[in-house]
Amino acid sequence: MEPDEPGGAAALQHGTGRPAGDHWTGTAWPGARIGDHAAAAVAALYSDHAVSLIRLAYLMLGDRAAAEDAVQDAFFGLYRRWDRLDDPGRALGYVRTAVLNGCRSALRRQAAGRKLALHPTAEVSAEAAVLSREEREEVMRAVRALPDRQREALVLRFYLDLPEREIARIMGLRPGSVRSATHRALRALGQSLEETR
Amino acid sequence: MTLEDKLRTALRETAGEIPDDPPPLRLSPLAVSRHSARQRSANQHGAKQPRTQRHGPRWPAWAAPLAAAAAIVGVVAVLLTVVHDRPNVEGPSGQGSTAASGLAGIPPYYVALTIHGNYPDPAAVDSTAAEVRATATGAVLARIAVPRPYVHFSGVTAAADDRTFILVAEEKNNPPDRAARYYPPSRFFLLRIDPAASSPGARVSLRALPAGYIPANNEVHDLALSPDGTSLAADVGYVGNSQLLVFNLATGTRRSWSFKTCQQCSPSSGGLGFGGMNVDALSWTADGRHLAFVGPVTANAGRGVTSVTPGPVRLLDVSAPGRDLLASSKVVLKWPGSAERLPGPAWRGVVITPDGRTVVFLEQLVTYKSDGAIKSVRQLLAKASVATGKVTSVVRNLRPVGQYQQVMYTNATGSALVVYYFGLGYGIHVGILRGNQFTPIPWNPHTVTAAW
Repeated sequence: MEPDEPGGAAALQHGTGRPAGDHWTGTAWPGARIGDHAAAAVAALYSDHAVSLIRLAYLMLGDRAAAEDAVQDAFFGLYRRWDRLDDPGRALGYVRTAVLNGCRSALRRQAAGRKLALHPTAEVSAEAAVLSREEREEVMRAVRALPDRQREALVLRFYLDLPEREIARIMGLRPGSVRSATHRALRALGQSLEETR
Repeated sequence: MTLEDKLRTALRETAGEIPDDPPPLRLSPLAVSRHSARQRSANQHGAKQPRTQRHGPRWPAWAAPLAAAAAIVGVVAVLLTVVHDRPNVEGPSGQGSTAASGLAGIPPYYVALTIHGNYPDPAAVDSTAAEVRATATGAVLARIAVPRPYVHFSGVTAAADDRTFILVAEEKNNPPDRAARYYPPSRFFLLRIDPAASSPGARVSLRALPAGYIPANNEVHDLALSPDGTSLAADVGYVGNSQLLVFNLATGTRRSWSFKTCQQCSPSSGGLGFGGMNVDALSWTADGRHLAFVGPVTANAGRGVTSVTPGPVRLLDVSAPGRDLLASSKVVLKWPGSAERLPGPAWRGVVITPDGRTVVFLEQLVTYKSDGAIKSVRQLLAKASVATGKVTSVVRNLRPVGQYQQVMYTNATGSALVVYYFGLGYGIHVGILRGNQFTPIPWNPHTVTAAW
């Protein structure tokens, strides 16, 4: 099973393999086959990993509510497809990828619909310690100005500390492309921060 | 500290803004995003279509080249699907059809942008189609496919005649061969509908607007068609460098006004106020001469922004000379609250009524815990007088059931609005608001946005 592509959950309910113009014919609601054990398993996974996943989405989106939505959607997608999950032990990997897919979708909708509440980015807490408030704002502003793919590569590498191969798998890229995206992102980041000096 | 160390630290500390107590898990089929209409999309909704609405692929689809007109620079082939069946909508609150009496004064048709597709085909999911729907029943009268090379519709606005609409179509976003920051080209299309036409092919026409091409790396943040259908205003730009454009639909000419944005704000805030949330930032009076918008946010503490004041609502006379948006416009409503720390308060939507006397607005209010964490975020729907700049009424708050999220339509005086809110389980409720009386209308949960 692959996680939902952006915008996939709603399409799921219409099933697959039907002509595009036949999108109202519908299929059986996938959730109808899901038992209580799925809800319990998904709830347990949510309890253990929701915060870290919301933080990941928050770094991608810069908006807490949107991040929570992306995570909710990912877990809901997992719940609906639980019975088709090959290996429940891989559920975390599935939901993490789904969260990132949701972030991509949200960013695309943001570009298309201008509705994400990306307020001025100084949404910083007073306890920022290692970097000054200004420095941190500058870095995050530069990160958010990066193209989506570069930002994603940076977050996976420097926040989650994932190995290159895993990043490539999550992003659906070759490792060389990940290296290239990361390199370009760091270069752009450096230039951007330099320009603000 | 190296760049990589700085990055790690900034990411870690920013992630630390998310508290350790996540919101409860929602496994409701009606789970949707808390963001408003344009952002709502297919992946957030799970309501199944009633079995009674099942039917086979009986709708004829056809491609129709539309007649060229003198003022038209492009004619596109549109794919229209005419529907002869029952509406594909959820009943209001699951209770069947809407009482017709509640629809008085509301245009009988609207254009909805709806996400369709067969998972997991991303191309299908990308293709947000436009649909002409009946307000009373939600029935689809016609479907308009996105003209190539564009891949989805991203915005829609309507004139007051209930027959004239403008759609924005965009090419593919972030194609993988684009390494640098990139935003795709887009184009405005004029959609005219004639629901009473005997021939299905005569019900809808879609034509590219003259001078309506927006090149790459320029976003259309918001758009508004004047009630008389003669002028289209659009906030267009990218990364803090946007401008207001007004197109004359008859002549194909356009004027532009420039403005400065908050230097401290993120790139996404480079629009007309709202800190990047620019939907409903533009609206017209009935004469097609005065355009209301929200001015840029004021940052109150230099580079290290600690608080902001949302910009005031301003009114621009588009017939007057001048190219500086702020110098050419006047303030009609200041932010009714005070400056707040970030993320702080914000306009969520500002619409001037066509009679020019009232501003209907949604404001977002934030409260904090003692440790500085966000305690709650809520929206308030209210009206203010243009003459006095004072708030005249606050619409009954829906809490704890929900909060109004967007004003999608106002009649001439603001006495009847189309709004939506999220109810229990984040179910979407779209309907007509008169005073504090809310009358739901049928609504397809896959609709991203709509214009009356």
